Amino acid sequence: MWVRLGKRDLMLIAHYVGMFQIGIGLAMTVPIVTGLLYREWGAVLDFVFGMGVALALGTLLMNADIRPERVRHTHALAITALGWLAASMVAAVPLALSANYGSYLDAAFDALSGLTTCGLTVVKGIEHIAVSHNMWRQLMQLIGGQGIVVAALSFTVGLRGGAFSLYMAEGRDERILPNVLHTVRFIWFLTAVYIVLGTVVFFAVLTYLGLSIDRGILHAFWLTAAAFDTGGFAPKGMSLMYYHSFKVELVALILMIAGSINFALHAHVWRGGRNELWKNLETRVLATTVTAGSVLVALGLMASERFPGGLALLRKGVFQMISAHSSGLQTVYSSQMLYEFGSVGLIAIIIGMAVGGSLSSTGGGIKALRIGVITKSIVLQVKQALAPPSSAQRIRYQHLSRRILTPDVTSAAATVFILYLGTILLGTVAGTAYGYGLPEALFESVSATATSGLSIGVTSASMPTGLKLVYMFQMWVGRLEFIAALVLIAQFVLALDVRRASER
Amino acid sequence: MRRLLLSAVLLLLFTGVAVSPAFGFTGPTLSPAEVVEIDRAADGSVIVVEGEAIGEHLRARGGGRWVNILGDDVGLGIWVTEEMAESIEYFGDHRNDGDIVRVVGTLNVACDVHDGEFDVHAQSFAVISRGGPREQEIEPIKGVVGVAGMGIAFVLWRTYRQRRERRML
Repeated sequence: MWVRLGKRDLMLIAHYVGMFQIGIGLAMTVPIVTGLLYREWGAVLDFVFGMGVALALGTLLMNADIRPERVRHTHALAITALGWLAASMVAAVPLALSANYGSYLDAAFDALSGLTTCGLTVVKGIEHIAVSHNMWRQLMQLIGGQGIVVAALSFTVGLRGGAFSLYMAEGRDERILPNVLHTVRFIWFLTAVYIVLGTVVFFAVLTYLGLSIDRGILHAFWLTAAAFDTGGFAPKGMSLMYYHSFKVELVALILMIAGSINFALHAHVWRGGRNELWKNLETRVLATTVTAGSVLVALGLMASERFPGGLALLRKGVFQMISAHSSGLQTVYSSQMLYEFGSVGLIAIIIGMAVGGSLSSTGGGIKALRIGVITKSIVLQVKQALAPPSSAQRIRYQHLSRRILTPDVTSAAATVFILYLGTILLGTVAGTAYGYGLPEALFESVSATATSGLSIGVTSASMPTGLKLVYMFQMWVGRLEFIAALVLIAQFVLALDVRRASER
Repeated sequence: MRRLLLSAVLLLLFTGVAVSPAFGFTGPTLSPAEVVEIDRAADGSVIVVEGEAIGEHLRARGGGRWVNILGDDVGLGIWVTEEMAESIEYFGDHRNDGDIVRVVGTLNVACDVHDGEFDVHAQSFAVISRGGPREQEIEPIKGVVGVAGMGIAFVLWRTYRQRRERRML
């Protein structure tokens, strides 16, 4: 039986969605202060406008339910799914007012891409974008990387129960500490540590390269946010190619790897369990796919007979492979992936994007643990087929503790895997229907669904509107790992069904 | 007279050939976007590219500087000498339009010297048009609407608090 949400439930959902919008509105204080420091009066007004809209809409929605009941699981899923959309819609307002976006839809595309830490962008003239607008783009990645719900939970503004349901609804599968509020605060604490460390190291490298002190600080913070939050919105249109520096790429590489690792695993290592890093199924899968993928990309690059080898293969091949799993920062042009990587390299990058990072990390994709679980399940099936009928076969895996692979775990992993494949297929069909070649359409579709952010050149301001909407849908469902988004869609369909029935 | 004319023609031809990579190269002028999409057969050849200098010039490993130029919203790295880099007065950013520069240089799809970078090694470099400060567009109406929105939000927030307190009593 389908559980329909009533009017009271909708009011409760509206209340919390309003809270997210208020949070986004208040976060605009950062670009406003940045704009004031840089005397960008026009851009400051964009953010004052945006903040006014976000706060007014948010408080209006909060008034929908003045004393909300406890948040149930269904509420949590709907709040999360709707919250991400509503937050993106208000986050897009100041961007839409700037000269860097052709329409509100373009701004909404980038806002959703930033919050979902995808990194695909349709911005125009980024080299002349206001510092405050660039700051907002990076801040969206930072908020989205940890999760809007996690951000809201860390302040626990007026939340009455249901914190764990909300936390789980955002595509997070593990509670790191017994208390969910302590868990989200740990996530922010860990993020703060990496952001500070990353910013300091980047700053040293960038000022050595020749950036001024203030630009050095800004670029260092932005690059750290883009790399650790696996966001991919680089401050420059050339992505990391702008800096022409192996040192910059190395720091980004370390941050991308850190961002792709499960927060629970970070906590485990933090508490002294370093062996877990080598034994964990997730890290093993990631190590395997990155190594195998890097070899394939290197083979592709070598086949082009242009790349000098050695460091070039590391900077252009291995870097892109790790970036495919995580942030989407680029050290090669989009067209180079098509021309220089060869088919084998391109396929490796596509698979890398699809696999993505770890569960409960800032990364997207199907996730390494699910791939590991499905692989183990196949091994189990083969073992069972070979064993005598009377014997019961079991298979174990290491993920923070020693676990037995159960049909429930396999089924959950397979469900998400199939949903990812279906969504990728949808985007690929849409891309080819708009006239793009199969490799380009597949590449971009995987990038949007896995929120990787690497682009082969399809995503741009001039891309068809329909395709922008398809990619936005893919980023949204991909970031939420489907269930929350599907619950919202199901509720919408059920509501239509009720209306039709009452008309009859 | 004939001899003199012949000598003059030969001298002109020789001068043209000798300096052509630096000054007299007559290939088509490309934008950075066109260079990035260029037929890979052009790898290693001398090209002419024109674009806006952006950001700042950066230290290059092993000497020289990097200048990134922009055209059709695509950036391209140009490896230049210190003197060439210093000739740029304005770099494009949020405040300024950068100088437009014309570069004659060798295209490297995967540079041997710079770890496989897609770059151009400049042989000649000229600023063909100076940049300058950009005008800021200020629309006060945005501020008015924004402040009005915040005012509405404040009223709605107070209403929410009052309704909530009344309900709790």
